Amino acid sequence: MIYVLVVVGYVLVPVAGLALVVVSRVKPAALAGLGELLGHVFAVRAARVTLLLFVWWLGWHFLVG
Amino acid sequence: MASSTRSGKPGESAQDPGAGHPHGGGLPGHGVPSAKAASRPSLWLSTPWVAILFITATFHFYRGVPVDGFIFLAGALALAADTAVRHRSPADNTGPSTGPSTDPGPTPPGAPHHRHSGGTRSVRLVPRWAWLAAAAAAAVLVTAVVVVAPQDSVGIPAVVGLVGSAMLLLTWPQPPHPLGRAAPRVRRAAWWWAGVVLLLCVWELGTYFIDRFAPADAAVFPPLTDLLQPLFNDDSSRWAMTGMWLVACGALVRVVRRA
Repeated sequence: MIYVLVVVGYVLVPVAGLALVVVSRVKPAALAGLGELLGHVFAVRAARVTLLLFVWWLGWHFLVG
Repeated sequence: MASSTRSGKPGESAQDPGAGHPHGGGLPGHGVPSAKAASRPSLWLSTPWVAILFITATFHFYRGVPVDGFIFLAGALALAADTAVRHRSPADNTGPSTGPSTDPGPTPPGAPHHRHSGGTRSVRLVPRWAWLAAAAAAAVLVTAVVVVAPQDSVGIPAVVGLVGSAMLLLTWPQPPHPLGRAAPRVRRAAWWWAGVVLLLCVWELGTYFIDRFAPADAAVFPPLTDLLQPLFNDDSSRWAMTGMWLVACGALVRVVRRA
């Protein structure tokens, strides 16, 4: 039971992300898309390198670690 | 108001998208930082990201994975040094002191200063199809090595490391022009996406610590790694997961380079 609950919590994350993507497409005046948001966030080098490092590390973690 | 725009006081005009923003982005000679001055990183915007890397490195050392800890520690130290050096440089210095610069110089008065304005778009030296072909060939090569090479061989960490090095080289240079203050819809999206990421972090850390300190015969709290690792280990899905990771890396690099 607890195992299922934990998995549901993880599933909620991509579901929430997908919902944000859909809302940004349906109501672009209310919510910016992820690409536009990242365009702003990536203007700061520290933010850019940090986020990319996390995404790259996922590959390192699962493929090498 | 036009009169307030010409008054020369920084951050006074609401019509200037860079007014009052830590990144500046206004017009030279009007009290708002030029593109070169704005290349200096804002401590308020940079420090939290460096802190996140330090905290992540500490966590990995704590959980007994020093290699991962050193990866994040190296990133934190590099960004801390870069932020400190560039922040202390005089505003009229010649651009960022570290890394290759794409700064074309101050924006002339009256010229468009938004990154998407197209007014300062650089000439494309390598055609778009060549970039795509090179990226596709590299992705196929990396996927082939990851799928075919033995798990404990040096080939897999080598190609994964090369992917990281390429990403760093392509995304380290600072965009030529800073963006103005984000619109409310962008700030709203930032809050929502931060909530989603925070949910993932809290859930992952919660399951990790509960599982770590729970009695041996207690219920299992699987971390995300235990749920996804079988997909990376199984031969039938390893190539697909590797491809998804490469697509994510390429998409992020594309967002950066599009600027």
